[in-house]
Amino acid sequence: MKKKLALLLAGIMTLSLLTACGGGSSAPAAEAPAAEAEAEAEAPAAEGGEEAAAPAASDAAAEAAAARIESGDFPTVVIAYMNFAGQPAGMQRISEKMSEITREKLGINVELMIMDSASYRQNMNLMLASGEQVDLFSGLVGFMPSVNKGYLYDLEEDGLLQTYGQGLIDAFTETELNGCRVNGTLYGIPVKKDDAAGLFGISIPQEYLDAIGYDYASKYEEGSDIIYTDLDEIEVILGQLKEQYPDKTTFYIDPTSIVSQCLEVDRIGGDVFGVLADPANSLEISNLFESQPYLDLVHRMYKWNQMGFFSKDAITETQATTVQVKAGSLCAYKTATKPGIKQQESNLCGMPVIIFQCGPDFKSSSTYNSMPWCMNQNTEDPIAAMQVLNEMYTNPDLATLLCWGEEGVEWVETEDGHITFPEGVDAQNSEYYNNVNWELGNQFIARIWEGDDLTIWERMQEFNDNAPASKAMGFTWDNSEYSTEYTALANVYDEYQKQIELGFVDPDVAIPEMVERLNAAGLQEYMQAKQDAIDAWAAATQQ
Amino acid sequence: MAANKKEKLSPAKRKALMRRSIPIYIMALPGLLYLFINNYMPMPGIILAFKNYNAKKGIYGSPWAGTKNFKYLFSTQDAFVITRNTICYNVAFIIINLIFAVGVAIILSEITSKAKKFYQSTILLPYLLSAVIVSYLVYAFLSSENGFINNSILIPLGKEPISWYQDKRPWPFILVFVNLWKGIGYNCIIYLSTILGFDRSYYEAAAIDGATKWQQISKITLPLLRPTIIMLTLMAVGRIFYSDFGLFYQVPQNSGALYSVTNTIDTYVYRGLLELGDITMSAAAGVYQSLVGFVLVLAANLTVRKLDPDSALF
Repeated sequence: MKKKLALLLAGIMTLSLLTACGGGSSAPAAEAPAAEAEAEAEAPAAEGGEEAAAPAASDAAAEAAAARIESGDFPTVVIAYMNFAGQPAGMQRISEKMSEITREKLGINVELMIMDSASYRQNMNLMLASGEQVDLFSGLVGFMPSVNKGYLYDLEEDGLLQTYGQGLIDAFTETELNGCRVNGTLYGIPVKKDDAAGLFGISIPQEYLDAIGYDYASKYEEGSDIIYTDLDEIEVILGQLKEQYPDKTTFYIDPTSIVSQCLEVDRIGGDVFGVLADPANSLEISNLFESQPYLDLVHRMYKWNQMGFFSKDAITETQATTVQVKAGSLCAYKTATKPGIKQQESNLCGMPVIIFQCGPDFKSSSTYNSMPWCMNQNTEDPIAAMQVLNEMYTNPDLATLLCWGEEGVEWVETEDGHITFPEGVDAQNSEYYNNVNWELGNQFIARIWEGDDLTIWERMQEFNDNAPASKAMGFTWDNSEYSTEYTALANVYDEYQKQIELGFVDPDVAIPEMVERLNAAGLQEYMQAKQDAIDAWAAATQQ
Repeated sequence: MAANKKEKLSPAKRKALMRRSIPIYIMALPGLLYLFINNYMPMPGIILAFKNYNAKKGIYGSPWAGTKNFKYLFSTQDAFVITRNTICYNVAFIIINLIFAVGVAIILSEITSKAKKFYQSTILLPYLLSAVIVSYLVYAFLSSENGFINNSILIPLGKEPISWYQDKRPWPFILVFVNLWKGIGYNCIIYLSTILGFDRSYYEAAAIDGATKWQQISKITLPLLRPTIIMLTLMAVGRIFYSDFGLFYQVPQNSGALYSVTNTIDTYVYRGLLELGDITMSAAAGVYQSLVGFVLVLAANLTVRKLDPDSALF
């Protein structure tokens, strides 16, 4: 099965390689519009001085656009991203609406390509390998693997970003952009989202708390919609919930995000094999599984499991937590908090929830390169692609179209300045309702949907700015040289993770066993490699 | 096949035979084309297993990686477990499936009533289900909280319920059973059609001489079936290094506690590369599986040729 797939893939790639080579060499020469050549001639002039003055850069960008509009030969830029429902019915229409804006301003057509999350990675890998046209895409395809496979365009090649992406430079700080640099090369643009996370949030429907007589109203701090507490208090609440609702599962914690959303450790490179256990102060890589926060967590889960808070089938559970709550089978679950979380979780659960938070806010080093926007390395017209990307991040009309669809069809303005569904349209029958705005570049400049606070993005910005950040911010871990160790480690961890972290086995017995096997699989070497890389990075950046 | 070689044909006769076969070759053409496109054209892709693939440089321009891509398959103690699981399960599947498939085929061939079609379809049905559906059917039996076995059998009998997805001991049996249940309808089709093609006069003669049903089966059906059995078994042996991904990944619900009895080469590769998405490493796994499969087919065929030259494939 795997072999067949691999060979098929290889075959497709062989074929496409031939076609791509043929197309690649001839197409630009034959089809490149005069405008592009002109623009390219202009580019070196603009970046002549390293600190090319902004006016010069915007001149070059404007000229490129003007030349394209004059020639009437509009290139098409294909934008790909993923949602959870697959291609929406209104995709063509929204593409056309977006093109109306970009045609007028930049002389470029855009075309959306939307895939569902299950197939996004696979489809994108095939398209990137086979040379099919896709110019800009969400890095949810896997940022570091894509860098290693050479799929991504160097965004600063010939001063591309400086000349045509000034808006992107303005939208982010240097640290944020550095998060998408690998060995000094910029391969992506971060998205505007919740960069920090409030750790160990617990969400419980208000109705259940009322039933056990819990007085949440008095617990709020001034001006906050999150109750800050600790796990001991949660334990008491869960115990009462268990008594009140013996037929429901009391608590569930999604095992895929348990470490990232509960512990204040920086998972360097997004994997758990070697983390910064004291990320705010130290760049020392240590073994997560022997760190005190992790041991405390798993002992707590073991205790909770003994107390009967978990379903006996928790290990094989595949339904999303919010779906379980909606179905009435679950009382409480873990989430990561951020401004607006109460509204978000209430929407997802279909009933008002109360949010507790038991950990601090924290910003990990992998936050910026978790889903950056990237450019395909064999995109035909990098200048056009960069200009579209720039527009996506700076033009509120374009951002709103991309996030929410067309005015009057997918949304209408309310009296207080929010937007909402028009008469007769809802989440089910809307032709463009993705609910993945966190993925779509700059949601901060798009319109705000009813239910969210109009100041949500200012609050979000404040949250992002104020959260304690990892010291390794801006460091990216490239594990391509250690893929053998990584594969072996991932397999061992997979075997133990759910049993240990959902408290089905005694951690005092299981953790030493797992650590021994991880060490045999090369954990120490892998951690050492991380340490060396991070030391080298620290030495280079502190100069 | 061996018999063909012994016949010496004159050139003229051979030509005539060729001409007569043209329509048959044409009929085979689509299948051969399919085989060529699907199985031969991707073969240069094997090269990927030895490369450090980079899209900018292309497959042929990428630097060589030596055997680095293969290292992960052999680097840990998992290597032993996954190889053992893959081979032992497949050996069990081959033997058990063979016995039951031949048995069911013989039984079906002896049934003459109209219900035969119904039985055959019913037996075939599970084969047509996707592994994901099968996994939930199994889950309906084994789930700790709501499962049939715990709630309707063990608890009423006053026994302790079992956490099936955390206890690895019963899983070798569960997997063999599920595989048998799912595959038997399909496996017996070829045997059944072969049996139906046998000359009925053997059986009539045997019946006249007073042979019992059992004697007919053991003295006529099984010997006549032998070449088919050997051929299908040889083909199965060639795939002994591959495992049914759906069976080993979906049916145990990807439960970590069961890895030591459910992890096979395919699931290991899948789990390890899910995050990495490394094409060259999966290509390496493919090459490794094909090579071992190839050697095993050669070895099995050699053994068969030693024991019974007429039944060997080549």
